[in-house]
Formats: sequence, C-alpha cells, structure tokens
Amino acid sequence: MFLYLVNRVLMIIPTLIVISMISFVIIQLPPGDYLTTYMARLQQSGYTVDQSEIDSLNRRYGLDRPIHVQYYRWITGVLRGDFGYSFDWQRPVNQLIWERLALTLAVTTASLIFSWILAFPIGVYSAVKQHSVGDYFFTFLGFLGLATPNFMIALLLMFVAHRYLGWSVGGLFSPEYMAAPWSMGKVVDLLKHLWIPMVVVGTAGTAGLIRVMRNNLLDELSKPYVLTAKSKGLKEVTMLFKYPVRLAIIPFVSTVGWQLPNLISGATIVAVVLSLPTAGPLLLRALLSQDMYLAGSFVLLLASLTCIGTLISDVLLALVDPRIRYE
Amino acid sequence: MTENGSKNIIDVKDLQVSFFTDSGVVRALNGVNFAIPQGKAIGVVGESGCGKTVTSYAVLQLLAKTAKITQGTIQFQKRDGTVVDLTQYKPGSNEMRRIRGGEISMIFQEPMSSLSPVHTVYDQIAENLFLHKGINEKQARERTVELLQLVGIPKAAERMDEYTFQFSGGMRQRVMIAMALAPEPRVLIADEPTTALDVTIQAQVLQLIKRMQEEFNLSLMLITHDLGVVAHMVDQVYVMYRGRVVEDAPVMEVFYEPRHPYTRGLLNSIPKLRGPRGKVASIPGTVPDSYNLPSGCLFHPRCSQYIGEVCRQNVPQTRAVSANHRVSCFLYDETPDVQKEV
Amino acid sequence: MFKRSRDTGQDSQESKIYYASQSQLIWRKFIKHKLAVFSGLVILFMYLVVILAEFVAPYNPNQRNTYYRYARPQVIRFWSEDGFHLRPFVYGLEREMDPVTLRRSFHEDPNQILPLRFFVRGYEYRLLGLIPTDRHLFGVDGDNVVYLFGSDDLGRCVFSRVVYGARISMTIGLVGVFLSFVLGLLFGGLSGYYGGVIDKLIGRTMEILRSFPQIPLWMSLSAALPDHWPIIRTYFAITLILSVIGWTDLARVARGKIYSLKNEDFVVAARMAGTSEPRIILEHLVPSFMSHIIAAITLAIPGMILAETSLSFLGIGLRPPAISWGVLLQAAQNIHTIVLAPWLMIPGVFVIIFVLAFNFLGDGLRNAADPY
Repeated sequence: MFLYLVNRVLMIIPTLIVISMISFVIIQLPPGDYLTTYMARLQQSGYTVDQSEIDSLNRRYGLDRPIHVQYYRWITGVLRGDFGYSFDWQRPVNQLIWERLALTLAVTTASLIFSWILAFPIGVYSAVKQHSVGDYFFTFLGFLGLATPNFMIALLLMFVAHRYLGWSVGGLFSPEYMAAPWSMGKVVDLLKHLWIPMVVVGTAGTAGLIRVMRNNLLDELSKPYVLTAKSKGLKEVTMLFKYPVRLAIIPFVSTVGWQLPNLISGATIVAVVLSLPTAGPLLLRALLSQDMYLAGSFVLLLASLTCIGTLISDVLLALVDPRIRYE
Repeated sequence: MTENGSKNIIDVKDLQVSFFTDSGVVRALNGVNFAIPQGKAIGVVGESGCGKTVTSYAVLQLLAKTAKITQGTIQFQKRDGTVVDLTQYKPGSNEMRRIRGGEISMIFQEPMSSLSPVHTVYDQIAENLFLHKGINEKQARERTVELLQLVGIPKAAERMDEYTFQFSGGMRQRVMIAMALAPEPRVLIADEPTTALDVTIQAQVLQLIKRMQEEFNLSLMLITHDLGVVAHMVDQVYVMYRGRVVEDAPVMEVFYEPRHPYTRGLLNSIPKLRGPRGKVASIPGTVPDSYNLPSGCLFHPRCSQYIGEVCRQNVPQTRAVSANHRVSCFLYDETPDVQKEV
Repeated sequence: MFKRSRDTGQDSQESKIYYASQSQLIWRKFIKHKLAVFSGLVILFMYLVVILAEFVAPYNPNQRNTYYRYARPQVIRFWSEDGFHLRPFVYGLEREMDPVTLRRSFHEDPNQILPLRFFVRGYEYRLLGLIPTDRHLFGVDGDNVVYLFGSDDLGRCVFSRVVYGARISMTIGLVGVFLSFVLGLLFGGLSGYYGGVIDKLIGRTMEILRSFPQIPLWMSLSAALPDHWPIIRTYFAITLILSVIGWTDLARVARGKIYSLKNEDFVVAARMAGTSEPRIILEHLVPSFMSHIIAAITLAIPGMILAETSLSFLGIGLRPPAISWGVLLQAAQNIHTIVLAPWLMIPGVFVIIFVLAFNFLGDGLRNAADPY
C-alpha cells in the first residue's frame, strides 16, 4: 500500500515537468518576447520606459539568454512562488490567481460530487432495470447531456431563469459581497450561488459517469460470485449493494482521473458565460490580451490540479480495491 | 404440506423449465424427475448443455430472469418435517431465502470467480452465519475458524482475514465448502466442484466433500460431466440428456449394467487403463441445437442402437428395469428381448 | 446451460450466413440498429445541405438589412384565418416600437400572407462551385423577407447563416479526426506493435496529454494564432490544435487492437514469410481492426465539433467574417441579447442534433463492429 502510493506520487513528477514545459511553451507562443509587448503597450499608453527598468527585467528573466536558461529561471521562480508579472493588471501574477483557483476548485469539486450523487443511483437503476423505459430514458438523457456543449446549458439556464423566473443568474457572489473580505456571510452567499455552475458543469460529466456505472454493473451482475451471494439466501437488495455494486464502484472511482480535467475544461467555458470570478474568464482575458505570464500560470496550475485528481483517484482505488492494496 | 411417506428430502417431479429469449423459447428442462433420499448422495451426469445446472438452479430458485418453471413440483422436506413445494415460492420470498442457504447450500464450479475478490474470507463466511444462525460477531469469528479448520485450511485464524485472491485454487474451493457448510444445511448441491481445479487437487476436494457429507449426514447432489467423479461419491446416478433424465440407477449398476445407449456411450468415452489399447470412443455428433430439437427420442440422431421409425416419431416413456433402475428407451419397450448385447 | 443454449443458437445463425464476409456481417448488424441508421440518414441529409448551402440559403449570409434587426423567426404555416392553404406561407413582419423603452421589435402580421415560392431567383452564386445560377430553394415575393430563424443584430438571416456555418462546423471535425487518425494509428501502431520502451514512452505521453484539461490548452494554443491570418489557414491551424490531443483516443484503440492481434497466427505466418514490419502492420493488422477504428473515429468527431464550437464561442477559435456555428453562437453570449433574441441560440440546437446523431451512429457502429 505504502509502496504503491510512493510509486504513484513519483509517477506524477515527470507529468508535472511536462506540464511545466507545455506551459512555458504557451508563454513563449505569441510572437516577440513579452518585454517588447510590454514596452509597446507602455508606450502606447503614453509612458516613457526607463532603460534601467528594462535591464532589470531582462536580468530577472534572462530574456537575452538561451531558451533553456529562460525556462530554468522561470521554473525556479515558480517553485519559489514567483509566477511572473501580469502586464495587463500591472501586478505580480501570484496576487491574481490564488483566489480564482480556489473558487475554480470549489466549482469543480461541487460539480464532481454533484455528478457522482446523480450518476451513481441512475447507473445502478439503469443496470438493474436494463431495457426498461427508465433505462432508455436515462440513456437518452445521457446522450443529450454529452451532445450539449456546457455553455449551451448555461445559456439556456440563464434564459429560462431570466425569462420565466425573473432571476438574474451569474457570478458566485451577491454584489454586496463581491469585493468584501472573506466572512461566514460570504461563504453562505457563495454556497447560494454555487449550485448553478455546479449543475451546469456537472451535467455533461454525469452522462459519461452513468454509462460507466451502468456498464460496469452489468458486467458484474453476470459474474459467478453474484450467484454465490444469491445462493446464501441474501435479500436481493442487500446482495446487490454488498457485492456487484461494491465491485462496480472500483472503475467508477477511478474515473476521477479523467473527470477532473473534463470538469476543469467545462468550468472554464461556463465561467465565461456565467461570469464567475474563477480562472476561466481571467484566463480568456489574459489570452486575448497576450498577458502570457498570467495565462501560462493558469494553464500550469489548472493542469497540476488534474494531477492531484489522478493522485486522489489512485488513493481511492487502493481504498476500494484490496487487490491493489496488496499488490 | 403433507408427509410424503418416503424419506426423500427433495423430490422433483416432471420439472419443466424454459428460457424466453429474443430469438424464441428454449426448453431447457423437459420433465425431469429425481429424488434425493435423506442423507444419501446422488450424482447428475451429462454433457454440457444437458440441463444439469439448470436443474440445480431451479431447485434453489436461482434461475435467470428469462427462465421460468413452467410445470412440475419440487417437494422439499423442511427441518421441521413439513413438506413444501418450492415452485410455489417466489424466488425473493422470505420462505425461499430461509431455505436457500439455510437448508440447501450450493458449491459452484469456479472457486476463483465465485467468491468476491473484495471481501475477506471471514466476511463472506460470517455473512452466512449472521443470516441463518443469528449469532454475534465474536461467535462468528470463532465459528469461522472452526469451519476453516474443518475443511483443512492451515492457520485458519490468521487466514480468515485475508482476501480470496490470496488463496490457491484448491484452498478457495475449501473456503467455498466452509461457506456452504456454515449455516449447517441439510442438502448440499455441488455443481462441478472440481472441474476448474488441478487434477491433483481434485481428489482431495472430492474426499473433503464426501467426508463432510458423511460427518454431517448431508444429502448431496453432485453435478458433473465426468462419470468417473461420481463412482466413489454417490449412491444413485441420474444421467441427463437434453433436458431429460434418460436413465437412473444405483451407481454400480450404471457402471456394470448400463441400459441406455447414451449411458453406454458416456462410459465408453472414459479412457481405460486396462483392456485393449485403442482410440477412446466418443459419441458421434453433438448435443442438438436448442431451437431445433429433433423429433421423438432426442438422442436418436446420435444413437448407435437406433431401431427405426419409433425412435424418430415417439417420445420414449420411462420404465423400471429393476427396483431402483429406470430408463427411457424403446429398446426396453414391452419386449425386453429386443435388447442387444454390446 | 443458458449460455450454452445461446451459443448453439448462434452456431445455427452462423451456419446460415457462413459465406458472409466480415463487412457484410457488420452491415447486417448495423442495419438492425434503427436509431443508428436513422442518425446516419440525418447526418447524410445534413451534409447534403452543406454541399448545396448556397441553394438552400435564401439570402447571402453576409447581407445586412438594417430595417430588420433582431427580427423574430417566422413560422411556416398552412392555416390562416381564411382556412387551409395548399401552398405554405409565412406572415409578414411588422415593426413596432415600445413607447416606453423605445426598443424596436417585430411581430408576425396575420393580415400579411406571404406565400413561399420555390426555386426563386436571388443572389448569384456557383452551384457546387461550378454552375453559375441565381436560383434558391425558397423565398417570398417582392421586397418582403422570410427569416425562418429570425435575424441578428445586423439584420442578417440566421437561417442562411446556420446553413453556411454548417460548412465549417461539420467539416472541421472530419479534417481534425483525419489528422488524429493518422497520428493515432502511427503512435498507437508503433506502441502496440513494438511494445517495450516505445510502448511505455508513448503510453506515458498519452497519459500526460489526456490528464491535461483540454479547453485551457486549446484556448492557449488557438489564442496564439495571429488575427490577420486568412480564414482557411486559421481553420487548418485549429484542426491541428484539436488533433494534438484528439489522437490519443484513437491511438489507444489502435494500440489495444494491434497488441492483441500481433501474435495471431496469420501475423506470425506473415513475419515468418519475411514480410517487412510496416507491411505487416498496414496490410495485415490495420484491415482486421478497421471496423473498430471507424467506430472510434465516428465517436471522436463530436468532441471536435464541440471543441470548435466552444473555442469560437469564446472568440478565440474562428473569428468573423468566418461563419461557423460557434461564431454564430458568439452573438448569444450575454443574457440581454438572449432575452431580446432567443433565436440566436438556434445554431446551438444544430450542434446538439449533429453531435447527438454522430454519437448514436458511432454507438451503432461500435456494436456492429463486434459481430461475434
């Protein structure tokens, strides 16, 4: 068990390195180095650029040095918590990202839990009542959920809420809490607003999860141990949940690994539509204004989040499957 | 609920089971008769697809959703002496669940996949104890150790908290036997209990089953495709072919005086150590397609002693050839002298 | 026992169609899957419309009509106050102004019956890019307009724009999947065939790519595309970006199949006979799992379409003047517009229908690909 976990943690390191490289490439993507962009922008807005400032920035990021040196300077900075400077906001990146990332994580986690709570019983139902009207209904709903882009769900929800319920949907906070410091009241307010992005982001993932649960349970139901359990005289429901459902949970749990990237992806777009104060809108704005240190940092951290997701799914897997524990 | 006069713990009469599938109705059992006398062992023998397993599932009401008992009775004598017809119970009813597991236990073919890989051995055995014996946790642990020792698992107290994938195939089957014995059943159904095991282990497991049967005065139904397995295990042998019992006889008579051509075919296909060397005989043809059953005697297309139109057009009746020996074949119809020596 | 009887049932079926080739078997199984067949027909119909886009669209998608801004969709009708009309018609649009908000809006005027005419003359174009003509599938007489899906902020016909937008939206997935297919087959094939270090390396790369949140990555890559690029170059650049991640799914299918096939007798035999490795892969392995690949491709297309739509919707995929469903949906980005003109969400309905149809089709194909 311990060895297994150590192994899993070690596996993440190369992934993180590749992720950091990709993020660095993204930072470098726009033509010209960021300093030129920065100066051009400053000059546009009428500032005069101080040569000593340019020199100090040059030194700091080694912009006149070869690319691998630049990468090294950047990544060591990141490890120390220095994510670079946002030219758009005129502030260091790490002053801008953390709250946004925390809220992204809140939305994503809520969606994850929402989709599990929804998918688990529906998947069990669909498998146990295979080919029933309910099964077909949920299967169709699942396909529909898969086919509908997240932002369409968000748009429709906004439209319906506004048109028929008179609500204005969007954001994660009421105006009075928007700029307020964190307090109990603000957390409660957050929870009140959280459900809409949770439902919107969660819906698409739910469809896939229902299929995973349904298909796994169908597989398990046909296995011999089910007959053994029945032959003991267990109640049908007890038997179902103690044995086949218990086993079908194993692959279900392991879906966190791929669900988290999907949810983060989904949350990014939905956040733009619902104007949530999460990573999505800021990333979009950063990309559009070529504020690359900010954008690159978001990509780096969002991707790292999914590594944590993979790790969580590995731990959960070991918890629910003794065969992995005793490997 | 009457005393049925005999000492049969299970008495099955004219049992018919059909599968209702998308591609049509398949008759799996076509009027099966058999009885297990109290404390005795019977063997049910036949090729795969002959309906042996369906028969045992029907007794326990474990049939798949698509299968239905369409006719017949399964008389079962309960612990308190009353006789009930199991076909009258719904599969999920409390009465059926008390009998299933509590009075009739089953051992399955694949010890690997018939046990849950994510529950400990203790968990799976104790479940039976809680369900049918109503004992507490501490007693259950003690009892589990006893049971595991009984079936010959060394270091039982330590091993019961392990998972089944940590056991070898033979050991798993012993766990399975311990599990089946836990609620102190009166009938044990063993469906090909040794087929999936190494040859060397097979004999040990069979001996264990035999010992348990004698020790606890169990009534045993041993299902196998291998006539060799039943030889030392059972009292009465039922030979099944395509959803029917074609012959049943005391075990020695089956070996020394087989009457049905199919039984003879099965016997000839056992390789012999002594006697003339040569090819092991096999029965020509295969078990017929469930959707297109032959007319008349179902065995006639493969029969080596086919005697003409009568086999093709009529279904042979079961008749007694001696006290405990019955056969369904036209060779023994009215004029026993038609019989030819083989 | 049950299993056995099913098996024998299949035996008899197999003996009946003993000479059917594998593709025939797949086809027969597929035909039974009614929803998949229906979806296939829907997709075919939609592609037909794409090919004949200029003919189907009554107006030039870029033609503005400042009078009819945010006009509501007109419904095709057969019944008016006068009773049944054999020729379908629409009611004319009447503009009104809210005296308080001063906002203009339109309503259908039941007194103005505009019969639909077919094969009418309109703007000139080349049918299939070849035949110059000015005929269009339908239209109305005179200066009147027919906006089946309403009009947008500049008074452009949303129906015509949806038809034109289909051209990009419905092909970008195909091109992207083709690229993914080539990449997936290459890497998946190498990985499955050679195994060992190559397999591990490619496997790890795939794992990392898959663990990446796709949208932020796609966003970053496509945001880097210069604004001044022509539509066609942006289009291909985006398909390339989408395939950067898309190939992993196909590679996984290819790897799994090749891995299980490479030790089959016929492959071993080919190797013994001295056939070169690439030839073994291409001539012996690929054909034997082509059906699985086709199913996987079909299921990969929806993802590409959704990705393009999402990126364009955010304004970092294709940009106007290019017309795609995502670009059209960009107009429906804020709540005020949606409430004012909910019909601007119609392109989204087509995204859903198209993706749904591809999912059903792919599902049917996947089931059919395993006839045994």
